[in-house]
Amino acid sequence: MTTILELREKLKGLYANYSTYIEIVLKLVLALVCLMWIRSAFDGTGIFSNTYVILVSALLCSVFPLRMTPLISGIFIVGQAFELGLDVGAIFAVMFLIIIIFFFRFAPDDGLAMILTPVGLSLGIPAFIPLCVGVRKKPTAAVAVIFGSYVYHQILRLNESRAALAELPLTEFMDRFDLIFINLIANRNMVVGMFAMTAAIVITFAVCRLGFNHAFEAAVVFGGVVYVVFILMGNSMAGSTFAVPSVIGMTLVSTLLALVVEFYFLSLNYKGTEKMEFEDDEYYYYVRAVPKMYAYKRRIQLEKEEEAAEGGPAVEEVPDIAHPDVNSVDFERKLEDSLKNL
Amino acid sequence: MIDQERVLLMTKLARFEKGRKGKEALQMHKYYRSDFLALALIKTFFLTTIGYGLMLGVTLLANMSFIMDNFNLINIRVAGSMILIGYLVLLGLSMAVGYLHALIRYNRAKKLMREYLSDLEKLSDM
Repeated sequence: MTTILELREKLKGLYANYSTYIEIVLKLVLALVCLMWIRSAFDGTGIFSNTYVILVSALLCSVFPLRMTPLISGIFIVGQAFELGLDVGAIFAVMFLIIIIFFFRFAPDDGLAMILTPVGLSLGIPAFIPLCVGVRKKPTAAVAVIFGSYVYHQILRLNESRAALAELPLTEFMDRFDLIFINLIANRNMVVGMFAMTAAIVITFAVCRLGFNHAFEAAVVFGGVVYVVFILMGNSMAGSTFAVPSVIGMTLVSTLLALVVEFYFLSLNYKGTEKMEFEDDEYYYYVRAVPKMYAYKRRIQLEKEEEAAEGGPAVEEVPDIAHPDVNSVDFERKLEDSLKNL
Repeated sequence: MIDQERVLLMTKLARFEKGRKGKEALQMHKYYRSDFLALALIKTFFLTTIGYGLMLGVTLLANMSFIMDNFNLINIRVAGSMILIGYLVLLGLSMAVGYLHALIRYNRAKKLMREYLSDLEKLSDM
């Protein structure tokens, strides 16, 4: 346990000192994961599947704010959809516009949850993102997760009907629309999954805010249990067809992963070094603000290193108080100094 | 001679101005409360109208085969009034959410700005 805690402290320290670079790398990795998933989900061959375009876009995401990653991922999804047909692309574009108008205008920070939910679903760990969202975000983020799930199933639907869509000409628009859209009533697994995710987010959020010891860990575990319970209820009452052993196994994996992520990242307040520039009438100031704890630790470490380099701590010469050399003391000067101090 | 306290205060102000919340608060501070809320409502009205139009279009497209098969059976007046009622309900909900969202944002920004302005005053008195 001590090793784990030490590692956590080291991570915090590392982030405090190199936050700028770490953020860039993390954003790059995140964008790459999203864009590579989109490429594999659509299995396209056009410009949006080109590795070079994906790398350049991921690099752009790494230097822009985090909000840009969902936006660029959305553009890639729409672009990939256009490769399947003008009507498919138009429908995806309209779908994203509706999502932006009715939801992301009010909660722009939840875009990441929406774009990571399909990634979690395709990796077979559907409860992972809802559990993380429940710990870190508000329950309104459940809407983003629901949209993410819908996008995932819509892409699955397109993949199923890809061959049929390629054969049908654009003029047969009625048949094409039947192939493009998901039948919401028939797709029970999607609807039950959405309910289970929402329940997991709400419960995780609620338990986290109870504030008892280890509330975060308990919230993640409880959220996982609620997810499984909702899936089982869906199977028995709503006609969904989830394979129960696999759902339980993957929820267990999701919960363990969420616990690790929560322990190292979500429950901590990572403070990074900040750089600022400002001026007044007399000076230009270039300020580098380092989180206090790490600045202090670093100072102590530097002092120790200096001492070690000098061959141990410097020993001051202690005056012999018992036998002072009376002749060597300049009493007149001492008197002047003390008067100055007065 | 550099005044350490002054530098600390200036750093605090610079952090606020550089941060996302600070930038938003400074932007909102340019508006009166009523103007800001009115602008948010106007924006919500237009966006909801566009969004509802798009939603309606997608729904019609998704159910195109059903509509074409049962076109003679559909009562245009009932369908039209349902579409209108749906629009009004959605508009009402959106306006309420938009108003509350703008109000909360404005009040939060005002609180931040009050602190920022008092720090600015302290700085000018130094």
